[in-house]
Amino acid sequence: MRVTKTLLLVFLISTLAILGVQHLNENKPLGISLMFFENGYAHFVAPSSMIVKMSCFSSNDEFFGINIMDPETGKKIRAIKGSGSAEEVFLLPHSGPYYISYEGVMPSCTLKVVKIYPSKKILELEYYIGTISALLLSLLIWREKNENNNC
Amino acid sequence: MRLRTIIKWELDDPIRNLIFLVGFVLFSISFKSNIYNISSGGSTSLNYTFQNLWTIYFTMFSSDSYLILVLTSLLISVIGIRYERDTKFALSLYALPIKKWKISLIKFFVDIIFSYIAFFGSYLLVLIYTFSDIPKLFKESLTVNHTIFYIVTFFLFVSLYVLSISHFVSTIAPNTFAALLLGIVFLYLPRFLGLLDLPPYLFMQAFLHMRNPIIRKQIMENLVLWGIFVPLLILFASLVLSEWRDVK
Repeated sequence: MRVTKTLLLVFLISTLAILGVQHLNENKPLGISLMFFENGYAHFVAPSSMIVKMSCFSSNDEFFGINIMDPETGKKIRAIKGSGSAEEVFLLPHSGPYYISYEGVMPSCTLKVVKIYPSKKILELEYYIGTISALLLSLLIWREKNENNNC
Repeated sequence: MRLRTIIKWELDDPIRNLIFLVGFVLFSISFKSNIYNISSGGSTSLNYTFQNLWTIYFTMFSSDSYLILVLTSLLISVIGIRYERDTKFALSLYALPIKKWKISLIKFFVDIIFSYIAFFGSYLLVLIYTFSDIPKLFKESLTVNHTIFYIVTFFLFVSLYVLSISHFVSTIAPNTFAALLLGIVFLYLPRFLGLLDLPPYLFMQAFLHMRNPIIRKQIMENLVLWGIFVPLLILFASLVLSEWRDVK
């Protein structure tokens, strides 16, 4: 049936299109200033895995420490310490929410995105789905051609 | 049996397959581009981290997606109903010993399958292509508070609304271009006039507010009027009209 072929083609082209969109958005200038809530946490949701630059300041050069946590695994992925100001570049390993807690004085922090790359898992999934639908589609077309020749 | 043949025939229509393909791909591109924002807001409690994903899920239905939905649904139903009559192809289809309203209903059914899969399928595909690297949170965020159920129903409501109006205009309009123009007027006029309690603004606002799990049910109940009642009424009207109108 034509619908099956259309569906396979849809998966193939959409996957390619999404790969293209990911590539176009690699250098998108994103940023956010983090707000610490009453329970001492700030949080944000990342659209993809990416490299970020975090800059924090505290008044009067007082000491502060910051922990960035990953709720998926429950682990701490980065700790930043400083007095007055601190700046660090690091990698967010996957998309989704991240939590930030502080010790000492409450600093004011901003997050700037340096580069946005899809994580390995996502890329693998995209390649798998794209390849499988392309193979199935070619198989269907090949079979149909053979049937027509036999007639 | 004969009905099944017609459904199969309609599903294999090459032009509508092409529109479905283009619509799906455009939807994926627009949804995926919408995702590239860092958001904050939602829950700060560590026990409900998955709720933060909802801020992304429920901001993805924008005016861009509505535009693509209107174009896709309108073209699909205008080509399935009106264009067929303009090119005289419909004469052979409606010569079958099946009531005209039944054929019209089958066309509606097939069109809703096309537009719904293009709309919701691309949404789901983009979510999977974005959040499948956090399987635990992704699963939680979709299942807790029946979130996936609400998303499925909301998308069905929107495509029912858009498609029933497209179906209606392609039944009443005298030719293809009139059907397209009328459809765009009906589907976009409330937006140009800025009427907040009519779709599409109604749907956009409702979807945004649905990230709050407490008022979610209430919002869904408010949508039933424009998501089910009005579409069914319009569908009924166009079925009656299709029985009256000659196929020429």
